[in-house]
Amino acid sequence: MTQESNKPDPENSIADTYQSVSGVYDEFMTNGKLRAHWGSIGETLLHQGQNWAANLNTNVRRLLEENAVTYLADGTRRPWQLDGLPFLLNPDEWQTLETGLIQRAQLLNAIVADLYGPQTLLHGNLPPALIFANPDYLLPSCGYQTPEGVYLHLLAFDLGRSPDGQWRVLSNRTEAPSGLGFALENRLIMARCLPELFDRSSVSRLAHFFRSFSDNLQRLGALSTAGDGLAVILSGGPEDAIYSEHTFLGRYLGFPVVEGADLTVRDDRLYLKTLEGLKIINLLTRQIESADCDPLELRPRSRQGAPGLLRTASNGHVVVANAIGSGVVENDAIMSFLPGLCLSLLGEELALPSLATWWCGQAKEYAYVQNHIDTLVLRKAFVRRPLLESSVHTYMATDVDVLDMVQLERAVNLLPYDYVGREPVALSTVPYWNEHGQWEAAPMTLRLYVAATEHGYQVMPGGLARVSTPTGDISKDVWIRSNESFLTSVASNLSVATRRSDRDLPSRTADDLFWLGRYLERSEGAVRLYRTLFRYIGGGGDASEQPVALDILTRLLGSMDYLSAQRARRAAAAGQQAVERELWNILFGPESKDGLAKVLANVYRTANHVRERLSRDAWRLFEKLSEVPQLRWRVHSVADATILLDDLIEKLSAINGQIHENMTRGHGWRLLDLGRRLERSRFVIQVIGDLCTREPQQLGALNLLLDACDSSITHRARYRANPTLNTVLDLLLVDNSNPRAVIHQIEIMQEHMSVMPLEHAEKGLSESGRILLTAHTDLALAEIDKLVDVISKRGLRTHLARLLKRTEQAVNMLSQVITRTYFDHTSRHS
Amino acid sequence: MRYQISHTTRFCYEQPVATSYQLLHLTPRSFDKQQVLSTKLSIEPVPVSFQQRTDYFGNTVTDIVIQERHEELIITNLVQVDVNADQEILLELSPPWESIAESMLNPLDDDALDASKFCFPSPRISIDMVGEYARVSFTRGKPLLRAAMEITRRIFEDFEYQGGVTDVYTPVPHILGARAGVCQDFAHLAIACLRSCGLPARYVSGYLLTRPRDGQPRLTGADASHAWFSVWCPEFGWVDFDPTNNLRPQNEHITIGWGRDYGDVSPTRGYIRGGGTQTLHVAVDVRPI
Repeated sequence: MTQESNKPDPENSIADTYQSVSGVYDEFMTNGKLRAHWGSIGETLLHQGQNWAANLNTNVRRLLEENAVTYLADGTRRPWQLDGLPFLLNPDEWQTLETGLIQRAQLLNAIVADLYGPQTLLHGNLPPALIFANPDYLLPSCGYQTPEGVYLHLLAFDLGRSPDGQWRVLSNRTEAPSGLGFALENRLIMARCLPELFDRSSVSRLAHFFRSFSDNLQRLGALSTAGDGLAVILSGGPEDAIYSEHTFLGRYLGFPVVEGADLTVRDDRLYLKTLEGLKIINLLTRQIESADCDPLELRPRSRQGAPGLLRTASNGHVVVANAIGSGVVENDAIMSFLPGLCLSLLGEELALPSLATWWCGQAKEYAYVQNHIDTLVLRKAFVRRPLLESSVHTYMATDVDVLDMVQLERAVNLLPYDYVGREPVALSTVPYWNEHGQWEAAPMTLRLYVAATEHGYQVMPGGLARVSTPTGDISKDVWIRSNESFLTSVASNLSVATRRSDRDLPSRTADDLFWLGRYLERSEGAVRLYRTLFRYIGGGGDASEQPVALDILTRLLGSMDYLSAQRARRAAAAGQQAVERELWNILFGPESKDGLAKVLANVYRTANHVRERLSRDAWRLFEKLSEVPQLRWRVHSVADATILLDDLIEKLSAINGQIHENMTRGHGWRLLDLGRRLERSRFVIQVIGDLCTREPQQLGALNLLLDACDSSITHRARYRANPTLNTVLDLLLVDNSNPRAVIHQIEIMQEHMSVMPLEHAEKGLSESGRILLTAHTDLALAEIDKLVDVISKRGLRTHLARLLKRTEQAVNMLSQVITRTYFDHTSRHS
Repeated sequence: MRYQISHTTRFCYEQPVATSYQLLHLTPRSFDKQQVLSTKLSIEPVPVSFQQRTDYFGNTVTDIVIQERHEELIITNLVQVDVNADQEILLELSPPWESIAESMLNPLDDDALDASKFCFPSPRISIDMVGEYARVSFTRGKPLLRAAMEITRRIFEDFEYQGGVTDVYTPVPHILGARAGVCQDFAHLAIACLRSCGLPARYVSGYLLTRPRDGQPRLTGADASHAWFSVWCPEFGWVDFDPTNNLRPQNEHITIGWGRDYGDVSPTRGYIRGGGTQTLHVAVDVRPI
């Protein structure tokens, strides 16, 4: 892992190869020399050769992949980009920025407080159009109360440096600033990739900032009228572009990540629907837009928030961070008013300038923009921009979607207050490692974060640098050297907190975990059956048994919905060739109803919903699992199929191992395991039903049955003889020492249900307890000889068939009882 | 003029509703032209939570939550109200519209500041397509209220009153294209025209006396609630216009409340869990007493 070597390597070092752009400020070098503040860090980096740089960047990429740092763009998952060379901020400049940003945060908070409170600023300080034409000014939020007057709990600022060396604020982000999680991920990775350099350089740590931020949120939450309560993160769910960040922050801060459907407002209080009933929430960290928070009072059709949330929040019954409506100051139009507002609200000069901006809602400024329309950058005044679109290109390009100047002028004329003109600036450059393996200069913006703490606003001593390259945006970790000494190690400072308990498991998450267990077991069953099928086709079984086995197998796959009836018939009739021909459709055809792809997609989707409950290692395995079919798409033989299916079994086992070893033994884990046991019982019952309830007994079928139920070895060890129906039924139904036996599943489920929270019973057993005890007794009392030997005139093993049917009914009833008792809403699974 | 109004809203759901949140703008407000004498709001099934408050515009809002399973929700409001809006206005005496548009950029007094809230696009009223239609009436120097009356008349003449062509989410450009709609569409369109000229215009929700009195023609527009718009003008204050009936509302229009558009004052606004398809029946009876 260690990259550093102090041995100078003169060949192709940055010093040799890097060229800054003339006329533009470069953050790394000036006149062919390192900028002074880079000091020894810079010297170390400057003389490293190309191999070192390539290794560094490869390691960074590998860690990003390992940590599954991704985002969604156009519906596809994309890897987050991080350059291996950190961005080092000059300590003197840092102090200036820190002071300036704290002032700015105070100022913006004061503006928001006024606009949703007394509105004194409208009497002369701010023109009405700036507020009332702004769609982020939410009238229903007027009168909003929040503890200690904090409306903005977290702010982000994008900064850019102009050729004169001055940092300017490009945008204020106050709605729901994102990217904090990515900044933290970047730091964790860089500290691992450049450990010696990082330690030696006394880079400011981020942990203290996060702790102050999170402690203050919880303190403010307790000041709400809810008093004691839960802190949660409200996310838009897995469809959100940066859901991975929400889950990461959730894990790091120890707050559950919830969605709108998990929340309910009762009696003007906000509650989380949990496994144990409603739990009051006193703090909600909002990752969705303000307008989506409340479908009753705000955007009518939104499903992301909770009806009644705005009223509850604005009455001070729950703290929402940031306050609902805080996007009102996140626009370009307000920029030119900040110096005046700073004087009148704080009695101070605005310390840190914004990029020069002319808002067309004012006559003089409008005239200026009209006269300079072809040199200025023209932007919509009130459009908020997501994190992933706010790099140099978007700040420095006219974003009005009109074809030519004439149309543009017409648009600006019609609604002047909808536009701003901004000064175009050649932003400073930094070296980044390009795709040709060279250091290249590219323009950058710097994103810094400010959080409300108990002792006022604090700036995070780090951040996100965003480099705009021809192939897209790349981030850099931002390093700020500190004079303080750090006694604690990186590891203890930045290890991901696990303060979670399952006490407050949201019902929806519980439902998802239950179904994750079910889907996992279903896919394992399907993969096992497919594998058995291909082994027979490939000649793995005894040749004489083949035709029989193939027939039975395809029938079995058909009855379990893994193979359509038509295909099953065709395959059985034509034997090997037909199956082979259809092989890939059966396995991976995305359109195919009976595809493996569908089963695996269910696993992945459900796992994604509960991602923040899974360990990183487990999640990585899920990602790999979902990639397997794509990797093998071009291979078309039976042998390949078998390899592929073996691979899948291996990955599924690894996932099970991860879950078994690393998940806390709380209700969530129990529900997952319940789902899995339930599905395993159904699988065994169904396979036995298909293969054994009718005469005659066939050795091939029995071997197949043992294989599909993963009990061949157990059988061999226990009986040391060829299987008979008696031995197989004994092993798979009633032998409670066999971990695959149905009775074993029932016993484990009894154990789980006995500690679930809502198993109250008026007399003796709870409903689920009664179902399970009946099923257990039924199996325990079964006489194997009778199950095998009692055969009707039509050749049906009636005792066996009835026992299987009763057990299956019991299992299905249990599923209904669990759903009704614990998931209290329309389940989205089937 | 004194009225007794009964307004019944009945929602029928295909499947049972587990929880229902409703935000009601059903209680008429009192102001200089109108005094509310009594109101009685009854809801079936009985809500677990019932709260009345005043919204941002000064309208009375009722928040209710129902947690009893139900397949039918009936909201009935009985109101007695005095209306005294007979007022002679000489439209020609209003100032040229440009001077008001100008004053909205930097309002000089509280009334003008209050009016300036209503100059801009709002969630359900976009104003970028109506410019051409509006400009016909807003010629240079025309007195504001005369231009507003003209817009009122043109909408009445150019557009057909027709239910089912639009719904409450229909955007303004669509109404302009369809040349048809109902009262809230016409109000939205007129407001968009005024705002596209930088003028303050607000949406008014209310009732209309529909039973014709002796010798007078029956006014179309409302077996349910009605909607019109209002324009602000210094010295005149807010002046109402009804484009559905091509007139200036006087004693036959009863105001419930006002806002930027329908969304701010819709009579019922709800969020339900469960329910499936729903059907809505509204019965309004306005009786002079």
